[in-house]
Amino acid sequence: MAKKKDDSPLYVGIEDPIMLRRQLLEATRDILQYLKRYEEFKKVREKKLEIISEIRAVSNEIGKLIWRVKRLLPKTGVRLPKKKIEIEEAKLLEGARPRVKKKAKIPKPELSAIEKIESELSAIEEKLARL
Amino acid sequence: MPVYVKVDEYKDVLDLLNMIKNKLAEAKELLSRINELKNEEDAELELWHSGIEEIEKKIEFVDKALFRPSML
Repeated sequence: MAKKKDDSPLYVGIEDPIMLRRQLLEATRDILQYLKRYEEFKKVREKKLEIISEIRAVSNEIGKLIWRVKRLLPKTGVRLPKKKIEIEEAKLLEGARPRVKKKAKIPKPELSAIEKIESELSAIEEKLARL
Repeated sequence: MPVYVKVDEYKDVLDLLNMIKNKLAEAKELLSRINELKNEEDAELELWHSGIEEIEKKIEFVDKALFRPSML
């Protein structure tokens, strides 16, 4: 049976074989180029990981330094009352970002408008429930 | 109510604060470097994406050509 197959092989014709070959070669070339680039990409990643570990070390050092500062400063039981701290923080925030307070004021009328709509809606719902 | 710190310790605190400032600047620099590398990675991934689409088109062409044999 196998011998018969060899005697009369069948062929499939391919239209535009040059184009086909070109496409295959180009795809192979592209894949190889991407493999090459992947190696470079891996290097970039390794560098990034190195820097991340470096930054981790630096932040650890910062933590240690802060701890040392804390240790050098006297331990006092003196603490500002909570209200005073809040006022001082608010003052600091005002000084640093004067626009923040203005922005915070803006949503108020919007909220009230939403509240109005909500109350209207609940009124309508009540009316509907009575029907 | 003022709190009093020994002069030598005060100097140490100042030195430490200076060191902390330097370390923070270093961390900032490292962070911007990480950001740069991340952008590089993103750009590379974007290139890969478009490249893979190109290859996909080529393979699709080959696939179609092989499944459409010439009629003699």
